Amino acid sequence: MKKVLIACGTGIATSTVVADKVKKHLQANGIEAKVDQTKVAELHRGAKGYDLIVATTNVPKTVECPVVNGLPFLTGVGVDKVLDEIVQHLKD
Amino acid sequence: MTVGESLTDLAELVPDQAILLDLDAADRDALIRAMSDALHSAGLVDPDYADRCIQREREFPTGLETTGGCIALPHADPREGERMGIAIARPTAPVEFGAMADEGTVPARLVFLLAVAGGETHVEALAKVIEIVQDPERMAGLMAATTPQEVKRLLRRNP
Repeated sequence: MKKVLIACGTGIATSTVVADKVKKHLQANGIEAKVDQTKVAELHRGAKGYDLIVATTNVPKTVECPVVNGLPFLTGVGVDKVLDEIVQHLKD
Repeated sequence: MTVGESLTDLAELVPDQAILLDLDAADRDALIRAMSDALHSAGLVDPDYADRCIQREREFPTGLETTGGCIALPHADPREGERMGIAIARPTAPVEFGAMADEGTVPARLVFLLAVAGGETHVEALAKVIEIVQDPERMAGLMAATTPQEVKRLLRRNP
């Protein structure tokens, strides 16, 4: 199963809001994936085992994993585009 | 409101005195201080909440350009004994906030200062705030509101 990591920089759990939306969309598209959450400060250890990171903050360049900008989920601008991107990354 | 209670109404988290319409604020920090002081005088946060928010804002800016307009969501990690609350300010002139996860700044016209302790309730509160700021109609209402009661009505309304 694919694994997605949702990362936020702040303590208000923007990642939880984003994670809910990503989960729903993946389900709607019939993509089975495990969605986890973290704070960006935890990413210095890398994102081993993850296929994709969706972040609402800047991710360290050292992280070797594709990163998608999750801000559209908070702003409402460009949501469809980012959902497409996420699906593209997780399709085989 | 205490942690663990389920949130049915976002307006419950906003004390009347923490709705600052047409606030004169010289800059971001002055705005955060005025909002934080309002939550402090409502008995929700410690007096240094503004300092903590400003510190966090430097590290993780919260300006967002949404489909509803330019906003900011300053906040800090809650401390034991502090309670949940939200202050809302509409500055007389846009106030520059750093852009979240991006370069540059966002001229915020409406600011939500969040004091949201951990747990389900705060995720719910944040999700509701996000819903409101993405709704151009409700944002227009908030930009035009003249009384705290009007603001609260807009917060309550289901989309």
